[in-house]
Amino acid sequence: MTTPRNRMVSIWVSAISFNHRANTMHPFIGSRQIQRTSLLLFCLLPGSLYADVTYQAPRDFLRAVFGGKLPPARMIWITGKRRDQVEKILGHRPRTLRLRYWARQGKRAWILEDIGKERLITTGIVVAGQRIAQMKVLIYRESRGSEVHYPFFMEQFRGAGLSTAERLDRPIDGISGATLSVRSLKRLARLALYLSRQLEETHK
Amino acid sequence: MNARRKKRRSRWHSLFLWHRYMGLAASLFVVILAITGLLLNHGETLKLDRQYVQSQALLAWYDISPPAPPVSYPLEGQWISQLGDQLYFNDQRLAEVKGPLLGVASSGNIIVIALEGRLLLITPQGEIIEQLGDAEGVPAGIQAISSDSQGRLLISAAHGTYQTDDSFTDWRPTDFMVSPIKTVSTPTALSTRLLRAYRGNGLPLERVLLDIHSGRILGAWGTYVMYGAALLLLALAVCGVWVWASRRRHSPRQRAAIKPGHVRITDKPSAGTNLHDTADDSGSHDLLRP
Repeated sequence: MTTPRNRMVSIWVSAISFNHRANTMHPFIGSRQIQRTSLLLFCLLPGSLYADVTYQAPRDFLRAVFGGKLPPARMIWITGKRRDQVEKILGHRPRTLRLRYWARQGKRAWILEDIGKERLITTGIVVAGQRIAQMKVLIYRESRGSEVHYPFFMEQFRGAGLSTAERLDRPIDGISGATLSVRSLKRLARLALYLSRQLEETHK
Repeated sequence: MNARRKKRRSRWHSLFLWHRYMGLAASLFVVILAITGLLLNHGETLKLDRQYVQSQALLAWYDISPPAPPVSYPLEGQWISQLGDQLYFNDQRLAEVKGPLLGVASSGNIIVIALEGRLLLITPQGEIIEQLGDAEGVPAGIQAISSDSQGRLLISAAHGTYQTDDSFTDWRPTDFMVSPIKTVSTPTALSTRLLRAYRGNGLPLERVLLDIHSGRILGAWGTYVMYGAALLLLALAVCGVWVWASRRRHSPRQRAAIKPGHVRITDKPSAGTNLHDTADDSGSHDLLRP
C-alpha cells in the first residue's frame, strides 16, 4: 500500500539514483536534475501532507470479517448514562447519537472513528467474548503517524479486554511521532469493548 | 604604554557598549520567543489547536474568508448550508465536509443531508444522529435525495434510484421519482452569521503562536526579522564571552598575576602555605588576598 511517506521515499530514491547516472563525479552537487527533482518534491509535499489513505474500505473489512454476506446492521443509542461513559472514554462528547454494529456467531464488528490530532482515523474493530479479536486502521487521514496501521502495532490489541475504570487490561507500546494516533486507537478499542459489554448486559 | 592602554580600554568599552545595545535589542525577541515557545510546548495540554481566534482584526490580517458564497437549503423552517468546507445547521457548525452539499430531505422526524459518499442524519434540533456511508450500504454515487409520501428516503445514485426503510438499513431499487428540494439564495442575515461562524472556526490559536514564534505573522519579512534576531542572539553570546574573557585577561589582578612568570591566585589559604611570597617545589608563587 502506498502511503505518503513511502511515496516521498520512493521519489527521493529515484532522484538520487537518477542523479548518480547523470553525474558520477559529484552525485549531489550542481546537477540540474536533482534541483528539478527537489523542486518537484517540494511542490508535492503540501499536497501529500493530508492525503487520506484507505488501507481497506469499511465494507470490505466487514465482508472479510463475516465471510462475504454481511449480517444486517444493528444500532446502539449513545444516550443517558451511556453517553456520559462514552464521553469519559473518548475525552470529548461523542459525535453521534447512535452507532451501528454488525453481529453474527458471537462476533461484533464496529466501524469507529476518532480524531488523532486534527483528522479522523477510521478503524474496524471485532469483539468476541469481551476481547478484541481483530483491529485494523481502515482510513488514515492525519499528516503524521500512519505507522499505527502496521500489524506489528495493531497486533498488540488482539486479546485485549477491559479492566477497571474502562481501561485496557494490557499496556500498548506507543510509537514515537504517532503518540496522538496511538492514544486515539486506544480510546476506540476501549469504546468498542465498552459498547459490546453494554449490549451483552442488555441482552441478559 | 599609556596610549596603548587607553586604546585597549576604548576598544573594550566599545565592545561592551555593543554588547549592551545588542542585549537590549534582543530582549524583545527573547521575550516573544520564550513565551510563544513555552505555550507551544504545552499546546496539547492547553488545547491550543482547538481554540480559535475570534479577533476580527487578526482574522482579517490572515484573510480568512470562504472560497465561495454559501449554498443553502431551506427545510421545515431551518436552513442547511455549506460554506467552504464547513456544513451548518442554521449558523451552528455541524461537520467538516469534502465535496459539495448534494441535497437535504426530511424523513420522519429526521433531517437527512446528502454529501459526497455519505448521508448525515440529524435531529430537528441540529444534533447529529449518525453518519451513513459505504459500510452501512448507502448506494454509491449519490446525486440527489428526497422523501416519498410516507416519509421514506429516496436516493438517486449512480446505478439508479433507491428507497430505504425507517431505520436506514435496507436499500432497495425503486421506480419512484426523486424530486429534490432546490437550493435558494441565502438570506443576508444568515449569510452574515455564517461568515462570522466560518471565520471564527478558521484560525486556531496554535497557528497564530507558531507564526509569531517564526515571525511569519508579519509575512515574508517577518521571517527575515526572526533570522536577524537569531543572528543577534548568536552575536550576543559570542560578544559576551569575548567581553568576559577580555576583562578577565586584562583585569589588574590578572595582570599582576601573569607578570612575574607562574603566579597562582588562590582564594583561601590552604594548610601549610606561607602567607607571603614563597617558592614552592615548582618554582611558582602563592599570592594570597588579605
